[in-house]
Amino acid sequence: MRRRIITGVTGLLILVPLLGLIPSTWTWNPRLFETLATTISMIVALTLLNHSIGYITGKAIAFRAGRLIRSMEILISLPLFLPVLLLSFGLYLTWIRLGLADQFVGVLLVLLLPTLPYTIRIYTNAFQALGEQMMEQMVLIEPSRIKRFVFLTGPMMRSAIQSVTLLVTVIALSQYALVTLIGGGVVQMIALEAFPLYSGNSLIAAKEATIWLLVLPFLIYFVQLMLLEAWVRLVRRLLDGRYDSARQ
Amino acid sequence: MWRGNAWPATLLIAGMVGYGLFISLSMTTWGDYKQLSADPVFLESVGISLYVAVSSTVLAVLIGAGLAGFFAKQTGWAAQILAVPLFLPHLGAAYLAILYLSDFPVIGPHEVNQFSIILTYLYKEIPFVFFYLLPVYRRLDHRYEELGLMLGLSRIKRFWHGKGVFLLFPVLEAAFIVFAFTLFAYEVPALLGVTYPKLIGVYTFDLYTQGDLSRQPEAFAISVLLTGILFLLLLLFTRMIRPLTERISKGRIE
Amino acid sequence: MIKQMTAIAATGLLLAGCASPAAPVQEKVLGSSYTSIVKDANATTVRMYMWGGDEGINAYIDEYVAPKLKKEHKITLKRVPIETADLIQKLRAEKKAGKETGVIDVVWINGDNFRNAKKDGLLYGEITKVLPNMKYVDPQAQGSDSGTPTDHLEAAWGKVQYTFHYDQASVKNPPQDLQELKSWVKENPGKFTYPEVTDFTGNAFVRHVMYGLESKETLKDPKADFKKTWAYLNELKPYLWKEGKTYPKTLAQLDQLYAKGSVAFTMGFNERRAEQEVKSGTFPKETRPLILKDGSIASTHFLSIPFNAPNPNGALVTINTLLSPDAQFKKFDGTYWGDGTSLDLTTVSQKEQQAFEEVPAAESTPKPAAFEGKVRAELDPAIFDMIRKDWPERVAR
Repeated sequence: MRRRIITGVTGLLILVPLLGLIPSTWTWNPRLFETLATTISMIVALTLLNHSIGYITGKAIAFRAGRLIRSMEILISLPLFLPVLLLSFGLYLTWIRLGLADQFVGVLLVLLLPTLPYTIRIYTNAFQALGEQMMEQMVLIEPSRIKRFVFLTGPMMRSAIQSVTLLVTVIALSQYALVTLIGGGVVQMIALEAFPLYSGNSLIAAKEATIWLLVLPFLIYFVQLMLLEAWVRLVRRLLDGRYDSARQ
Repeated sequence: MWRGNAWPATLLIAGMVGYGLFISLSMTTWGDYKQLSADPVFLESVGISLYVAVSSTVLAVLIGAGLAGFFAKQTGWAAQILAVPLFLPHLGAAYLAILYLSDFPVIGPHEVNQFSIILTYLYKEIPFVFFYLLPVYRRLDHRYEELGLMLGLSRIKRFWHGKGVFLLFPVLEAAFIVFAFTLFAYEVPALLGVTYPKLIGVYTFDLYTQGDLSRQPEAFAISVLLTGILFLLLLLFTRMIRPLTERISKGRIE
Repeated sequence: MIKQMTAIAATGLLLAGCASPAAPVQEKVLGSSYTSIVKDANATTVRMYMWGGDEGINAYIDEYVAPKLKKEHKITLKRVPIETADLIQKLRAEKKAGKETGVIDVVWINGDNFRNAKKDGLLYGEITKVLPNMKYVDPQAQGSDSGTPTDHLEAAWGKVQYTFHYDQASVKNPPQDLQELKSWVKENPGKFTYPEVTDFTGNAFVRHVMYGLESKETLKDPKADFKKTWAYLNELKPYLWKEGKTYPKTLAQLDQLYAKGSVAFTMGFNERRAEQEVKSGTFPKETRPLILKDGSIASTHFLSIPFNAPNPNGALVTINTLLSPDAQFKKFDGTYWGDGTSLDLTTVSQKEQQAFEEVPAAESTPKPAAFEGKVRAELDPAIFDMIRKDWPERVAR
């Protein structure tokens, strides 16, 4: 009974505010729409980078030992505790010299700072939960790295993959100052249009922007969910007892 | 080689952080730091940022951990509900605050007590802490607590030996992450904060982008200073807590 | 492992190389004739960086100027909502790092931003010498920008007078000068405020207070101690909105408060700014203008081109178009912006001159007679900076 009450109260506090986002009229803000292309490509690129780097790094931290790995772990966690925006003042000057300022790639690299540490942590936990022995077994069963990922390790990390994508998406969408500083108004992500709207006259325009901010992560999450399910189904069908030594 | 490779990540991250720090440092002089330590505007900004960060962290961790402990065994709807704020970027949460709290006197935006900022952070960080600690709570072995019961330990001792020792490190980790985040954030305080004093993230960013070059060294100095302090805290944290947890998990070495 | 490291290093270099576009040779475009400039600008993209906090101004650019440029010169105009102060910082960093080709083509600029830009060599050059439409521009407006000679580096875009607007429904007897304003605020606590001084309009409010209270000598000296001004503002403080504990961060926020009815006054550098808002119902129907006896600062704002503009030809054509009588007229009438023109109306055709004069003034726009004897020149831009430094400590705390 107590559980129900607490669940209920939590539900109210969390979900009721979201009701305010339901639009009464729907207007298509063309400027918001323009930023969608850049935003989505940035998120896709960032997510892919995060997954690839996070996967191999998480594995290393989980399965290797030694002082070097421990120090690397700390170095990697640094951006979680340091003021990334403030450090980017210095980075900005370097980026200009490298020609990365006002560029998609420049912003992409900088967005790695607030996202990678979380990603690596999630993958580390996932590999630790998997266990070194299970990992060794997998290596024995399927030596080819790609095949191993597609059939074995990948599907077992489904929830980690989900969490990583979600976190990367949400963090990237919220970055206004960082994107404006490094992107210089050329790399137009949705925050660039949304942020000024929040301190402007039109509450309706602001509401619209927020709806997008909420819809994008949900959309990406569910698309990925379906892709992952399809993946698992495909793998199951393909495997279908291939590794079953008892099969004739 | 199937054990993965931590080098790319380390080089990228340490490289960018280090370089950013290095350049920021090179744009300042010793005099800037001395000036900062005497600057009342800077100090008040730090003060209020600490106030917001500490309150948000303490509340978020207490409530988040409490909820995690409560729902550890059987989550039911709670996990789905608590997951929703995770999907909303902080910027969107700030909008919700503007939308609902604008007309209220004490908890509205632009109040010196910064309650609207703290509430916005709570909306986002409680689910974060919840999901961060949930696996930890799930992995708890309740036999330790039962042992404590059988041995007749006091409630506090039971809690500590049964759960506390295992929770300590993850809880402190989560707290540190939330603390650092709320301390330095820009977007939320920029939208909901007061004219004076500004939270340190907003204050420093404004200093950096303001028309006259003369105040930029201040902005760089603040970045270096804050980075340095938190880095030290991080080192202290790992140096002190790690051996503690090892001792806990391995048992007292007689 | 070494293989992977090399791969990563190579990718890094590749990215760095790919990232900077092939920098076009920055020819001194200013030597060519305007016709060849137009030819080179054909079918190019121009990026214009300007304050995006006013929907009317945004609409003017997006709905009138951009299509006009597209039609006449096949130019694609991209408006970027980044403020002048922020982009000065960007240009400075780029200049320091030696970035020859930037991303900004046209900037909206004036006052201390212009002075800083001029001082640091951030502007392209003597652009007004090449623009044919400069013949229409009023040389009085063009010559100097708040005391800094423009030296052909920027082109006057519009002229405005600072005006207060109030809701007649709640303010029966509007105050006529600063002292009456003070009494009104004391009698009606929480109904007045001004933006904080990092905002251009808020900073200007403080300058108006200075004009009203300080002597001429003090005003000439940016290093003087503006005691009377700070005293006045501090007297106002406890009776302001939120008891002066916080101020709207931007003019847009003040407008929001005024629209909601939380405060009874708003203000700004454009005597016609309320017209559109009243028409669309955002502002209260009975909005009326107010010019304080202590004066109203006349401000000219300008357009310019940064030193490293990637498309200087396109930028020049854009500015020239914005100076044309057609574009100035559309900017002046109530459809979008209502910004005063920078043109000398005696130089345009009879028909065009008539069109300007026939634009009806709404109830919320002051009659020209209201400004008689009250027009004040801009103060030294060093004062803007001083206000930004001192106000937080002397008033806001």
